[in-house]
Amino acid sequence: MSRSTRIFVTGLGIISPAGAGTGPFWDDLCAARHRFTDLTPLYAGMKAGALGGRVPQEARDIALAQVSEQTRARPRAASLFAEYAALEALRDAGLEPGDETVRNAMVCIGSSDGQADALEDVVGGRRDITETGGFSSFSITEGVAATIGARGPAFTTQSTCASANVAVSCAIEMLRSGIADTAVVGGCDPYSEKNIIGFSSLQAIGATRCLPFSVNRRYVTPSEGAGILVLQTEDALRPGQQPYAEILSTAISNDANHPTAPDRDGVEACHHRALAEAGITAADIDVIFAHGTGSRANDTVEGGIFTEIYPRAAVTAIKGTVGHLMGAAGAAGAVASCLTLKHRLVPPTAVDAEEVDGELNLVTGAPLAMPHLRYVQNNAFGFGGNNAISIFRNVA
Amino acid sequence: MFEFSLRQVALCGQQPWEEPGELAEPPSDLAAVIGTTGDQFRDSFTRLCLYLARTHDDAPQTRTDDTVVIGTEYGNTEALTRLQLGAQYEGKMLSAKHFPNATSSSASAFVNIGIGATGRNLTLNAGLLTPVIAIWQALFALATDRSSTSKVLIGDVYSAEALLDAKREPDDLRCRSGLAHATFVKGREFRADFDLTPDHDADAALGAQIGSDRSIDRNGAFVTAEFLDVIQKLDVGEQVVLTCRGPLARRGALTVTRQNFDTVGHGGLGE
Repeated sequence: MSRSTRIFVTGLGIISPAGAGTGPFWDDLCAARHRFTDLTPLYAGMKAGALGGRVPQEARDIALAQVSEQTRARPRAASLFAEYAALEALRDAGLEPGDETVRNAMVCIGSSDGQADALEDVVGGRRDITETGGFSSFSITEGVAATIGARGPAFTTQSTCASANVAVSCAIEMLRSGIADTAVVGGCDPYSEKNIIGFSSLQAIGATRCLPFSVNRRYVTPSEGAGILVLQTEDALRPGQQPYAEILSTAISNDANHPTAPDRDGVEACHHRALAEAGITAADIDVIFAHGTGSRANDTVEGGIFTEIYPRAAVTAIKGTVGHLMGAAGAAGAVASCLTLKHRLVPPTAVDAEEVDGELNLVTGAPLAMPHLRYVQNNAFGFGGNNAISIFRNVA
Repeated sequence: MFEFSLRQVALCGQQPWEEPGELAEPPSDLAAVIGTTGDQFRDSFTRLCLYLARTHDDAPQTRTDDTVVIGTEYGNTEALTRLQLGAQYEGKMLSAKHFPNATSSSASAFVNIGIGATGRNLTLNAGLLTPVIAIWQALFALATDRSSTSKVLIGDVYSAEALLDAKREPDDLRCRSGLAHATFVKGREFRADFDLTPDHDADAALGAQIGSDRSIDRNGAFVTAEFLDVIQKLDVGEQVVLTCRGPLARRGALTVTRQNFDTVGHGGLGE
């Protein structure tokens, strides 16, 4: 294996509450435009009016027209989202399903709730297992691999809301070990009743939308979608191909401390690990896409780390705009990071400048132009002490 | 190619004649080792993972940088189901303690907390190739000096819903619950070579085999434990191959060769 193998992001795909594709996603991020809706109460303990982000029907229809015949016949949301985003990312990278480069590619998809709609319909007695198409989380990755014609290693990673970044880390390892030279990697998560019930039981969702790093923050706004990246080694690039970014590292760690609450020391350790693996220091980081869930605990821990260790970096958090895509959150952040490197523009956090908590250098209002942007960091953390941080480098 | 030493292998599983599902005879010291607090929330998969991680290796005295890899097809499905049904039947009385136990990687969370492992950790599902991919991840963490110890838990405890799903697959594999636990450490006793290229044998039966002996179990726990037992009995220069095959010509082969019996380099806890 070669630790020095350089890995580049050559294609992006996403489907989110902003719509199908990177275009509407970037437009909503830059405008800090959110499209949250009221979630239907799912049980007697859930209050009405809790907000969530849903992939709009128009976007689903666009996706449905493109995905595999199997997914069209039994459209489980995770597969629908992941297959659409993978196809978009492939096109963006100038690749075709089944061509030689793609045929040998590895596929790794992170997901926390997996094929939640299928399992929940079986448990709820709404559909039998055959009608659903099944709920093994591997079926998501298997479906993406079949859709794009990839026959390399394929697996699903599940690390709660850090799942997508964990998948990216696994892909980097396989590319550096020489098992493949192209990876189709990212994350997806559908709206999950179980998840909404769980957050409701923790009183973590409500009628106020996600306000990352705001003094008024209170709730997480759960959301859904998928984000996919095409990663390629330097040897796999076509002559003249202009990647979005070089990915330097994706570090994984665990707090080993508490099932739900983040641990400052554990989260900080993951930051140091990511920087060390990237071979840079915190002072080099220009922009951080924070995990920024809008919860008291997460934003206090992250905000403290940013203020103390990264005082120079511009921080932004997209969950106030597109919501928390759960296992796909890291993928949405990765897509946003790469688009930021392309446009040299940092999308704002959807909170007012006056309500920013503490001394955090949070981007609010208009997008921030950064013509000399070099390094962008993308954070994703999850229940169970899961931490995963990626660092991207400008290659333009 | 990776080099490693193997500190321990353990298996906890159903007997072949048992109906698939919960273990009829769970370990007699299960409650003594992991306690019973929270058993109304945590499922059998989490309990068994925690039990194996705590009993079949030295108990850590401090936090470690150990890597933990859990390879499973259905993981915490039982707890996910229990939360959904809990909301239906308990309504406003639904406990907030369900949710942390009812994520797809809850077992990983409680194992990491239970043994103080702060290193790389992941729960992965590669279908029928799960054993080979999980071991690859564990050994890669050693090879890149991310950790001096990698712990692997592979297997499933089949809930009713998991059984429904597994039986949809067009194969003749048997479902029985079980979990294998192994501790890999830095060392040179064994060499591992992986081949993850697609299958050229279109007629090859799905599932796992050691050498030419095909396992009839879908659950990778059994073949993993057997394979790791076999490699410990190899003489220097001997090798054995674990091959896992899935649909769409997916194949993973792990060849392990005994290099020596030197145990120098075994990672101790906390290293």
